[in-house]
Amino acid sequence: MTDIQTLRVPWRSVRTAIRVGRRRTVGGALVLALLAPTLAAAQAPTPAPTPVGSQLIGLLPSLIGGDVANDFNTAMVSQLSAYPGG
Amino acid sequence: MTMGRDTFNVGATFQRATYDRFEGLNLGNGDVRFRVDDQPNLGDVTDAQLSIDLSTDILVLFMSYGLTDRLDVGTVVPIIRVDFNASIEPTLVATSAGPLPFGQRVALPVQSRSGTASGVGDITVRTKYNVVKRQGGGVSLVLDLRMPTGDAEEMLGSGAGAAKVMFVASSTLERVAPHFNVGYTFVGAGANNTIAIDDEYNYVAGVDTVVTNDVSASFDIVARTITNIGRLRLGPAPNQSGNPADQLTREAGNLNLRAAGFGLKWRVAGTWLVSGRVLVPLSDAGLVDRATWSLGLDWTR
Repeated sequence: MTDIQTLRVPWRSVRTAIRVGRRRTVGGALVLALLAPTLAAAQAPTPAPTPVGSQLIGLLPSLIGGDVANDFNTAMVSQLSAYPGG
Repeated sequence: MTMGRDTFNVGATFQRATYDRFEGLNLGNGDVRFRVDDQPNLGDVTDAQLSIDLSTDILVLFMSYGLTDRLDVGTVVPIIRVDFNASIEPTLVATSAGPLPFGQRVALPVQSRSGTASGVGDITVRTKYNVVKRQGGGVSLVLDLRMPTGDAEEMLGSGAGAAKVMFVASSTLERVAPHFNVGYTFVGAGANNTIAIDDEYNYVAGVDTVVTNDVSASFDIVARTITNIGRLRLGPAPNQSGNPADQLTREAGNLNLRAAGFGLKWRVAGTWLVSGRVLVPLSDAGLVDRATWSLGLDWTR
């Protein structure tokens, strides 16, 4: 502990602090290594949105890419076009 | 069954539908989810939860005219407004290095799109011929020709012409009038590759009953089988690491829609009729609105 009067730091305290610091550094490095992909992804800029078509039929594909989303869009707009209200 | 020579009927019906579910999945709470690859970075896998707010307002203008005692001709013009809002909440579940450690999921920014379209939908020309005439009922043959006048790209029409042939039978038993319709709709080739609709079978069975001198009530079971439209099922994901638990997969097949309709008609003055109807789905199949209501007014001369 630092002597409040003289502001001197006992050598034993300094060595302990260094040891704890080293352990914390190793632990911190491990945590950082594990989380690196996560942090990188979280900090990665959001991809630029696909340009929005002026037509509603392309609204979902412009929001979500991939075949499954296209299938969903096809199924939904097809059923809507069949006038589901009767 | 038919109106009679020189009889003219004109009216309008307003129908509002707000779609709540699709193939049993809630459209508003993220039930619908997709695995999206290579977003936001190459090799990443995200679980995108979709929320959709979709509604249609349809004003249907109709008129029909009795050319002879047995033949009516008419037209139906829908004017449609579609409101479509969609948003996704993407969550990162894996990177190119593999699934995130400790099953972590990292929320990425929400993205959304919205749009509105309005205009004339698919116009139908209707011909009705009374084949068998009986006291209080009979059998008629109806031919509906639907033209692809609605803009399919804006979800205002089907993009395909169609012809519906329907037999309509009705009778009157004291204060109750049962009716039964059975039909088949031939759907032409569509101009739009995204829309995949095909022929359909149509059935309606129901009764009308007199409540007072000026009010009648109706109850119908409406059934449609749309062939080859395909279905979406939520099932186990393909065997890849980092997938969301389930994925939507498209399967070939018919779509069977069943609904119950409850209606009231009220003669407000002379030949002016106000009508109201609620259509309630009887299954979770397809695009479902919990209750589609309509309100109409028509006049006959």
